[in-house]
Amino acid sequence: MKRTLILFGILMVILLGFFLFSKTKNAALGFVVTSPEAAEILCAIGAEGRIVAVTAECDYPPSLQQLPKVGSFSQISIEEVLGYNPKLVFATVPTQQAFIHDLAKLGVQTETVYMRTFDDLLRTIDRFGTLSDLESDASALSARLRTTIEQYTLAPDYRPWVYVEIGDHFWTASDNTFLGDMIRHAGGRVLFHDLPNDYGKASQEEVAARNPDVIFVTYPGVSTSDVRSRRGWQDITACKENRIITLEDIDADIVNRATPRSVDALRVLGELLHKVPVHDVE
Amino acid sequence: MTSSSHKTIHFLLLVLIAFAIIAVYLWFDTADSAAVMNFRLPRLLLAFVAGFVLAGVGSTYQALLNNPLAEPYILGTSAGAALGSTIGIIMNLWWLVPVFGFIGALASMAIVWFLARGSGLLDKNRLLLSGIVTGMFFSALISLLMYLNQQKLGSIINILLGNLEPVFTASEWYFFLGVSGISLLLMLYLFMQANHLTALTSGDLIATSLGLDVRKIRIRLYIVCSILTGIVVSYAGIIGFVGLIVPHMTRMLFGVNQRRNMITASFLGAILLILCDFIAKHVGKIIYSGVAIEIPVGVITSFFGAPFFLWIMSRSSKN
Repeated sequence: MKRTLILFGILMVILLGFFLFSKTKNAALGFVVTSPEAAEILCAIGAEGRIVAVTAECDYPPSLQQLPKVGSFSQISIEEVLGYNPKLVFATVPTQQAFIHDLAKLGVQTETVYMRTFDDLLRTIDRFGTLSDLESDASALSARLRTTIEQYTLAPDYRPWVYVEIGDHFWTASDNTFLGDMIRHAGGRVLFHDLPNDYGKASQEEVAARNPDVIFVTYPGVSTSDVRSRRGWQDITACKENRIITLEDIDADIVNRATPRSVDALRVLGELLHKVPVHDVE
Repeated sequence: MTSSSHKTIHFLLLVLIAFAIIAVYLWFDTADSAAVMNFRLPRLLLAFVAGFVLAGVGSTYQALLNNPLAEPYILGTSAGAALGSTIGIIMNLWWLVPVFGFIGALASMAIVWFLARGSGLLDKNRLLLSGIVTGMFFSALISLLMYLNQQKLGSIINILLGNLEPVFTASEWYFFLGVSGISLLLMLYLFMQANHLTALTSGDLIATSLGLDVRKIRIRLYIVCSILTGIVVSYAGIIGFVGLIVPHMTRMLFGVNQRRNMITASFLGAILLILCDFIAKHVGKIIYSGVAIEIPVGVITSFFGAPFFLWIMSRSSKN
């Protein structure tokens, strides 16, 4: 009996200690950013100071890597996120939809991005400006980008058909994607513009039948000669004329993320599609 | 009319249907002979070899393990091959994916053999359990790799759901022709061993009393079947249904003789898989009005195969 009482007493002391020393909730101020695109945009409008935690893939600007991590792009710890008591969580849909759903159930404010066009990008920049009380900086950036995009946008007579390969076994993108919009602005046409969904699987037979002028591979591990040595691809115009763009020509991150840096990808793509330098802006 | 001439007519009819399916597969909706040679012929060959091997190995395993639920994937080889291919995909070594797959198949085969060895006769239950457990272990590793590499999910799913569209360079194409030739030779070997299998189905003791070295036969057949399954999964991914159901179909249609069952199952498997791949390739065009979107062939094999099997089952029970 005595022993039980002593044990009980010790337990109570430990519990009391937990309550005394447990962290009090921080005031909800900071942003938790799980989307690399959103992180880049926030930093570009000068809101980097508001970000309290990111995911492992948020690597641009490089200073973001110093911040604590709440997981990776596809595995986010809800508990870690809640630990920061964020004012707002920035995520990419549809990839992080389940995570957003869970956060909403817990009453956390979220902001999602899914950009299909350069116009979407400019709108997102403006909205992020409003959300982080940096409206003027954001609208200055979006105005500057708008001018740059206009200057890099090409409307040539010759508009090559571009086959985009975003994954092995002929995963490709339609018109209705950021990549598709980039190709349009760079003066090209998307070979599989008519896919029923944003992304889909084509077949090499269909690629050969549609006969692209340019092939654009946006995933790592595939070189120009890999594409040209595919059996039966020798007759495709892009292979005959060796007009194959790979990640050796354009940095993967500026192609696959919709961020202010995407205009650089647009310029490089325009130059590669039309073999002329696209003049730089001041 | 005698029953044997009936059978001959049936047989000739089936051969005709098979050739018709192959012809339609090759020349449907195209006038471009280069496309037929470059894209459809390799795909046809892969579908043929995959269906031929899976149904034949399924038939062999059902007899070897004396278990109606046995199929080419039950002894873990496919999981090993899929794991190898997955590792190749994650390392971005696209052109080595089939090689990685085959190495994975050999690794899982070695592990299963080591586990099942034990003493005595190479007990079939021991082999079965070792295979299933090894397969589960490799599947867990695949799930882990998928979880950690979600940006590669699409490519890994191609392996897990099956994909009959090969991307070959000229030299890879000749290599594949060689591999296909070797597969068909190994299938011939399995066919020659079919009579021993008939003896095995009556039990290890009876088979031994007939003068068969049960242990040796089981090990040999297991190795040959594993190599065949490994080759198919390395190139085509895991295509379900064919290896399990086609041998039962042919057993219902043509009787239980193992030798005949293996050869008919192989040919029926090949033709069925070609037919399913044809549907997988063209059905998207109908659904999406003209846009070439393909459905994974593994989906089609089960979607159309299951009702077809039920139809045959109801027919054979009436007889």
